[in-house]
Amino acid sequence: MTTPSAEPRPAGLPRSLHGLLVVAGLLAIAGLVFHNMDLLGDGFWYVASGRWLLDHRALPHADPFSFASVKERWIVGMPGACLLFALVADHLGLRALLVMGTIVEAAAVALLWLRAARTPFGRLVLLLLALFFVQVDATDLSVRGQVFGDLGFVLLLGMLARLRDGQRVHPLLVVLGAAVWANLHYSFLLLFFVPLGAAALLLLEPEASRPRLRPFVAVVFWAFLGSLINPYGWRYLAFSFHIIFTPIADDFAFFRSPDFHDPAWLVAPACGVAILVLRGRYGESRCAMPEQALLLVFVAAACNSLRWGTLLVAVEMGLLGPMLDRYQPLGVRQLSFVAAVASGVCAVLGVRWISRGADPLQNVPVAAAEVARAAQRAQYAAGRSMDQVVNPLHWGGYLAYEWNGDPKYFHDGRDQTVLFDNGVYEDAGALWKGTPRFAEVLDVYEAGVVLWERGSRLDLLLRGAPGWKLAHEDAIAVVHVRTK
Amino acid sequence: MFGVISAAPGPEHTFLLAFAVGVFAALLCRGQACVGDLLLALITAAAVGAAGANALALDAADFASSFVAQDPGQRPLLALRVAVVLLAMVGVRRHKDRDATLACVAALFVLSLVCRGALVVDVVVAGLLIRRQRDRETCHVPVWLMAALLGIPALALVRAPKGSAPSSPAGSPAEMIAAWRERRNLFRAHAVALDWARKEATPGDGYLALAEVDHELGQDHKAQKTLAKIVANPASEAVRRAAVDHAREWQVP
Repeated sequence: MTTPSAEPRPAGLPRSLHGLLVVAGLLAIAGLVFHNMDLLGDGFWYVASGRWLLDHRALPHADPFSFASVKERWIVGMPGACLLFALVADHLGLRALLVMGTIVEAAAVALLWLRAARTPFGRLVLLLLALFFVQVDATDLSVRGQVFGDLGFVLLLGMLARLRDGQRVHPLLVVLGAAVWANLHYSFLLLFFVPLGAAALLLLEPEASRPRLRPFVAVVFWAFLGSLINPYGWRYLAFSFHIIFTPIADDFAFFRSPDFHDPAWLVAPACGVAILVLRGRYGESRCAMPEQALLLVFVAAACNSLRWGTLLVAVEMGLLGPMLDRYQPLGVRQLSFVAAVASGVCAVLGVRWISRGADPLQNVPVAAAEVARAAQRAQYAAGRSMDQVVNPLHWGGYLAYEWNGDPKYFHDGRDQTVLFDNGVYEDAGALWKGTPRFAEVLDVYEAGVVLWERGSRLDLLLRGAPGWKLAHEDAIAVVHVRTK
Repeated sequence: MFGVISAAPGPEHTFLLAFAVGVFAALLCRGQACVGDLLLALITAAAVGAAGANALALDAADFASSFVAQDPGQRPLLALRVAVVLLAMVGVRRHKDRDATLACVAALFVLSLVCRGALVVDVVVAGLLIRRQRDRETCHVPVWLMAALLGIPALALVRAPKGSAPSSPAGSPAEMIAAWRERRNLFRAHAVALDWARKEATPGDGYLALAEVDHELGQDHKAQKTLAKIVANPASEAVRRAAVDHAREWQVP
């Protein structure tokens, strides 16, 4: 929780140096985010879906991109993000998407950093955690709705802090915020669970100092109303619950527990329990135990699923900042020296990270997609019965963006729980793992062209398989074409 | 919306049962439980649950493997880890050595993530530490907290329904085709129909099903070819009549 109830006393650092530290810190945060920002298949299907919405000015009734999906079940998830991505990509270019993703994610981290700690010493120490936030997110950081989810969560923490301190949160703000969040990312469901959970944990606080619980419940009510403002109404809520709580999520690495034998993944939970212990001793005594319990819940969530690691670090920052603000171990001269050095290092690193730039097409099969489309057209023209294009899940989005449904491809990452819950998701898994069923699956889906990752198991199997020839090979992708 | 707790008994069930028995035994004996009692119940539950299905890998080579929530039986044990820290927070909050105790429990929590077998040490040490510092004036656990501690592992057992049915429905070819149609996977239905048709000596129901699926896939040319084979050499008069009707209905312009 981010706002201390009273503004802490400044530590005496010259205002200009404090300003320099803030600017350099922001540069480092933005630089690190930009350095790790990527445009993967998912980002491309946002653009493709948004283009479809803009072209047709209507909600789709059938999936225009995949030949194997349950056609009539396509619900455009995160429609606001799809529209926004399409507008940015088509008017400003793909690189602008990277910049937009960077700005949103960096804003989330910066907001948390600057709101949680107010003193120079607090900000100096918390900057490390802010950069760690980005680093934890780095493996999963790409231009998609998730960046809005991170920003929404930071704002939610700020709102909880206001409620804890007895400040009012205007219902209209909650309704509007929920409406925007629901249209940008599925994580808007946190607006229901986190305030209710926080209210429950506040029961640990003695009644005399306990904040009123009713505003927490009221926020959930207003958020519920706001989240209904989407193109699908209440159906979208049910759909979002289904997406979030599907057991299929366990198949994806970022929804599984991190590898705790890797020390890097142990840092976030270790910091979490350390802050939990410190919070019992330092900081405001009011609400100490509920805040410890909240942190513990997020530690558990991060142990359960890698994706929650980022949110855990956000909660850690929110709790550590006010504690640091009350602690002043350095004199003005020492603090000035450390702040000047830190500012210099951050500025250099920030500029270096930004100057490296990023190629929005570095992780998608640009050339292979061209070859695959030409091969599919040739097979179709020749009247071959096996003429479908089969691709891995994470490149489907790019094919939607590049081909726009001509030809259709096997599957993508839009929605595995409804759109591809017809056995396609499982069959795609068999291909991805390169199981002995691969030939049968390719026959079932009448695959004439296989666009796949170079060096993957399926690539190796098809290189030695009769009836297939390698038509294209580049740094990341291969195209195999059926010959009989 | 949610499925029920899975029917087959597993480590979660043993754990939950033992935990519930421990808590209520403590309540019955004393009229009220203290944190140490709860910890003892947890220790018993963990030991019984672990012995039930080797959930802690106590007798396996992967004793030192890291915690993975998605492994069988591990989510309730994550809830156990959380419960232990929460109990330490609540149980020793007014004690002079509370920071050292909580730090020790927190460190063991982290250790049990690196090495899942260390959970036993975590629970035992936490139990001993809290019991040693027990202050009967301050250690009483509110009923709602006990209910929550009991509820957390229970919630972990409530599983959302599997998002997808088995990928290969069993039964006769006709039933399998119907099942794949129901799941809107015409490619799978087509594969079953093709296999069925290949096994027929003379074109019969398998051929007819193949033509129908081809038509649904929008491949009317292929459907007409199959229907022509049926009409030329039908397995029965009924099949021939159906093929003729379909051929007329799906005529390609």
